[in-house]
Amino acid sequence: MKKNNYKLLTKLFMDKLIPENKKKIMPSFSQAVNIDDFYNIIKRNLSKKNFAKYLNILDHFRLDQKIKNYSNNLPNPLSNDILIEYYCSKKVIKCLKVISKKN
Amino acid sequence: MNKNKKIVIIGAGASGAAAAWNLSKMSNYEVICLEQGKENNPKEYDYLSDEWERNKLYKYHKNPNFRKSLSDYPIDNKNSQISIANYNGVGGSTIIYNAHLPRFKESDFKIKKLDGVGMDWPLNYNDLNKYFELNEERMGLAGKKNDPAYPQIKNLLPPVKLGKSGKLILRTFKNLKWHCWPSYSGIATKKIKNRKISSKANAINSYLRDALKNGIKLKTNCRVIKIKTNNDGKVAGLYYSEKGNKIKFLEASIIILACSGIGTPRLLLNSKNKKYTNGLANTSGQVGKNLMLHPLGYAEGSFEKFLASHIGPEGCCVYSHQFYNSNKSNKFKRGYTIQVLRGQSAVDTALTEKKFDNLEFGEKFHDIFFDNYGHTIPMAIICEDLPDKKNYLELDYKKKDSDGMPGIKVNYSISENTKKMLAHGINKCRIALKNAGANRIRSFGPVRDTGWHIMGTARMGYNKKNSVVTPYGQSHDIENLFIVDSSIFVSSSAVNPLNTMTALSLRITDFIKKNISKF
Repeated sequence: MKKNNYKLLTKLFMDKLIPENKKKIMPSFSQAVNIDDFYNIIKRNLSKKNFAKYLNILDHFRLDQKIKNYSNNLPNPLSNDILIEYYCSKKVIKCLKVISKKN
Repeated sequence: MNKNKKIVIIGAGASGAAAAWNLSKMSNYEVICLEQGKENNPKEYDYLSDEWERNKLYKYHKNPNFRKSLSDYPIDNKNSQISIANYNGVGGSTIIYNAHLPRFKESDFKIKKLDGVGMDWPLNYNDLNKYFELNEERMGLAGKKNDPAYPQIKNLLPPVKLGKSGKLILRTFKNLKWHCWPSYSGIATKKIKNRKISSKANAINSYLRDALKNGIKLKTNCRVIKIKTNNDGKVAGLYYSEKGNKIKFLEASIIILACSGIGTPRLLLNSKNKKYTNGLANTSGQVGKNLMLHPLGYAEGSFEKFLASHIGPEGCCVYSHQFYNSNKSNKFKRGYTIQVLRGQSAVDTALTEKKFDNLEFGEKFHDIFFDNYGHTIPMAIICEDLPDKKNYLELDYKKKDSDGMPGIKVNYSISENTKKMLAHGINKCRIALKNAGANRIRSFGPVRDTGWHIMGTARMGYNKKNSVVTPYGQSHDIENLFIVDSSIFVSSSAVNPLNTMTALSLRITDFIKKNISKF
């Protein structure tokens, strides 16, 4: 598959993993993180084996979008990168500050 | 004025910066501080900035083997239950630490006499008292007066805000009739010189900036490879590499080592020569030995109520010395501090819950996160580690740094005494958290990546057969060689060593100033 298609699938996949929350207080993954940058980060950070595993997950996800089938099989370094990029994004940090003040 | 005479300080961390500042007021000597790392932009390591969340996981990661910057050297932790944590650069580990600034206690200096373990220090609490006060004035110490554990401490900034979680723990410990008090923290809780409110004290804003104003020279990206001695057996100077370029020689009248409990023995061992075949200052054979690391236990309670526990300086909340001293009913000697921490930051909360398989991606993701974020109270159990010659550092000739200097191999195992102490501490923390109302408690120990407090690897003493330096940090073997970092500690106590190490550095450099004509 072409690289651009993987980037598009990454956006869909990540937003399934981290969707916008019901009260719309917390953004979805792609609302908080630039997908192009994220794709490049994981390509750089992950081992070749893990990156290939990720692309394979995306190939399956294209055919079956039930997220439960994939979320437990993500390589650990990928899960960590997802969480780090999301929670270190400016948008999420700002949202959490607002939430903490309200509470 | 004789500016040809040079005092060279190796290392611009807390002990080196304090030494540089104290010696900077001497007009007739040139004081040069060599630092293997670079000077960083303070905005990058400001814990109050939004960028810190990311930076602490990468560029300022506590594990040098992960950072792998040019200033770091390889550390082999395979033979150790605890991995070394540090930062190599201007300011040393103080630019990424938690700003705990407690003092060692009177009993910490005489553990052999009191409990029959380890070795007594060749100095006592009163010898250091005025230097503690000076250091606390320079760094700005936040805390609360009339602490029964530290009745001597008087000049304090207001304590850090405890928040809901700190207040809850304070009440709980009081109900249990356990000691509990706001932590001694290097946090500017009001406006002080060189600091913005809520900022952390570090080696740069407390000492180095003023030392530079007073005229000392700081040379960054300069790694010292070897110290040279002359025919009299005194140090003559040192070889260093600047930015990885050609090795240069720098003459020195006095050399002061401030490279940490791991960097100092590394340099001494690597400086062996025909006269000193086991390394410099090592006639006793104690260089690199008696490594102490403060094994750490961890307990964390999760509460139904939102406590906003993540707000505030990460490590600075309240502490307890209820179990600090030996007690006949315990099956171990000496004791530990319970350090109540803040709840984890957002990214740490998410990573931790993922690690424990408690964070599910998908529809429930945010709900699970918010059940934990700001809802937890973590506690660290900081155990007193006893000196043991079986715990030691050695040069690793297989793994070298960017200048070809050997790395370090850590050989360390936790003693039976510490294992019992850890289990006791974890049990007590679980009791406290349960009493506070936690609905889930996690605990484990020893925590691996917590080898921040590296002590004992060039210890001080009166007897040159079993110690490396005198009570004034002066090498028994080489009169113009001094050590001011935590490698000279005789025992470890159960508190963060920074305040005591810096006080020692100030005391030793006062001695150098008074006796300068002899060197």
